[in-house]
Amino acid sequence: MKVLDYVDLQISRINRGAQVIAAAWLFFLAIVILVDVVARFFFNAPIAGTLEIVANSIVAIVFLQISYSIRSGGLLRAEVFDEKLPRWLVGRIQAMGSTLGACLFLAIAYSAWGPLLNSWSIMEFAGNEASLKVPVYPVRTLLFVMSLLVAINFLFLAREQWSLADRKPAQERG
Amino acid sequence: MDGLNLALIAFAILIFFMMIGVPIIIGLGVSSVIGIGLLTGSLDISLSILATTAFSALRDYIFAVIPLFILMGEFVSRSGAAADLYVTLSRLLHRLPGRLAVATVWGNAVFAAVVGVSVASAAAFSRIAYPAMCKAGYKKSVSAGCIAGSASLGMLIPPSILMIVWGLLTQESISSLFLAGVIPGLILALMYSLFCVLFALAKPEYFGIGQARLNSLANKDVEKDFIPPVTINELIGTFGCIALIGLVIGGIWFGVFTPTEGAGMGALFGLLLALIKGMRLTGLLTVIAETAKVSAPILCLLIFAQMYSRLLALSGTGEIIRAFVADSGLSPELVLAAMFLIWFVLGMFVDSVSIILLTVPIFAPIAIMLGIEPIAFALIGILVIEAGIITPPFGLVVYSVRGCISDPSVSLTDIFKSAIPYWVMLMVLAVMVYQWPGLATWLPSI
Repeated sequence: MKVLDYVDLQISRINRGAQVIAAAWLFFLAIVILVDVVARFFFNAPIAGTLEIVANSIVAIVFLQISYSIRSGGLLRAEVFDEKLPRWLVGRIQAMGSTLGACLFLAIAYSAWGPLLNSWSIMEFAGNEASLKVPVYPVRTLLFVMSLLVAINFLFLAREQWSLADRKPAQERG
Repeated sequence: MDGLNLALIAFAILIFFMMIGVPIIIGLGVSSVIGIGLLTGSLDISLSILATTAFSALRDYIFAVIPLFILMGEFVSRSGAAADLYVTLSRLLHRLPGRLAVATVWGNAVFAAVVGVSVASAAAFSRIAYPAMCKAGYKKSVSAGCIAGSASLGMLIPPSILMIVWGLLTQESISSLFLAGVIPGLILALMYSLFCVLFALAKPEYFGIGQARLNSLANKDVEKDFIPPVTINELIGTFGCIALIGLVIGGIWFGVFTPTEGAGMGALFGLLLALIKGMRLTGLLTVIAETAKVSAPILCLLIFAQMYSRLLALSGTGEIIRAFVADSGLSPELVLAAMFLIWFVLGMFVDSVSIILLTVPIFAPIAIMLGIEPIAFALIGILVIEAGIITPPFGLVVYSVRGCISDPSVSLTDIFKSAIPYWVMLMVLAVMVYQWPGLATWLPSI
């Protein structure tokens, strides 16, 4: 159990790191947009490739953020029956939901593997010569890796929810 | 089995997951994958669509608008600018009955123009306006109800995350939706403030008026206790918010930039304002963590919402429902009333973004078929869905207010009861927009 706790701690660190990288990336996008608007408005010379950079960044930013969001309680759910059902059952249902989440993101990682290999083999780019060619394979790689991380996070969350359901209220307070 | 039945199975799975409390993202994702798998008869095809959607659904310049507006709102709400706004408004309104409640309404209206999420406004004003109102002798449940009700302005006055999601789903211009929210938002703020003033005149004891008089007999300077002297920091916060509104909304209105560009500039301006107001590294880290927590699930939901839209399209569900409505010969009012009911009931269980993702792909084409102006319909929908966040049992904003005020003497039921007049006014405004669509469509048309 201690090994799992240690792994969980390291994963939480990775989540936080990924989230900070995503924030830095977002600030970078805001600056790119600012420079583009200023250049267009004052010098009538928009920055080439702004559209491609921003469009290809968002999916990467979301997948970098989602693990942190999941572990910090960012996923919304209906809580109508939480107070009506016994505590252990709510914990078990939540754990089942998180396991389903792990399956969903494993399915994304599994299905993204083929396109990822293809993308590396052809060195896939977005955009055109006239504006800016943005490499797409790093984004695909990130999507694959972060989907796996999300799945692992869901499994650890399920473990947490399952054991929370076993704990007695007094233990929890203590 | 035909497409509709298979789609209904997927829909039943989704509703079941939602009801038992599985997060909406997971329910939507799993049921869409299963539904498409059943319809195409192949899990491989379903997974292949999942891979394409996960990568390409968000690959558009416009999607940056969501995290950037959330980042801007987080900077402003954590910089202390909301408190500055509140104090300035309280000072300006000092002769009005129910002054602090009216200041809460207008503080929310102005604040709504810099944040796009109702919960953010509710959290900020629970911490600022609630202690001030309690100190002035306001009835606690009335104060909490006013804060929860006023927070619904957050989704109506641009920038609004609900409008962005609506625009993305229906291909409506987000700039037009933003501008369409301005007049109904101001009307709603006027209705709320009028209600507060009339309520204060009818029940002065709920608004601390008797208490203030008693206090003033004992201490002539009681009013000064509630309104501190003007400080430079307060002016920076208040004028910073106003400048930010001018920059973002003004820029979009005059066509200087797109909503995404407005959001990018706004986020940087928000950072500047927060730094000037003394935000340091810890504050900055909280802002970025909160942005990740709020924006990632919304964008992730949009990925699975595309899967869900494909399921609807593949099964022909939308077409079948449209044909059913057309053949039934029901009047537009009755169809709209049915939509109101579905939104209102869903609002009791799930959050506003999820409701839009689930219903708008079906409802919006029906509304067009019935001859309802799309922009006005978007506003009507957002108004009704917003009512859901202050009605029991889910009432997200009420839970948020309850959590933030942390006062055991005010129960959730008390807040829900005090918020009733506010959601009734939201419904009245929705009917007004239906009757006079110009309220929503006039501003985007000039």
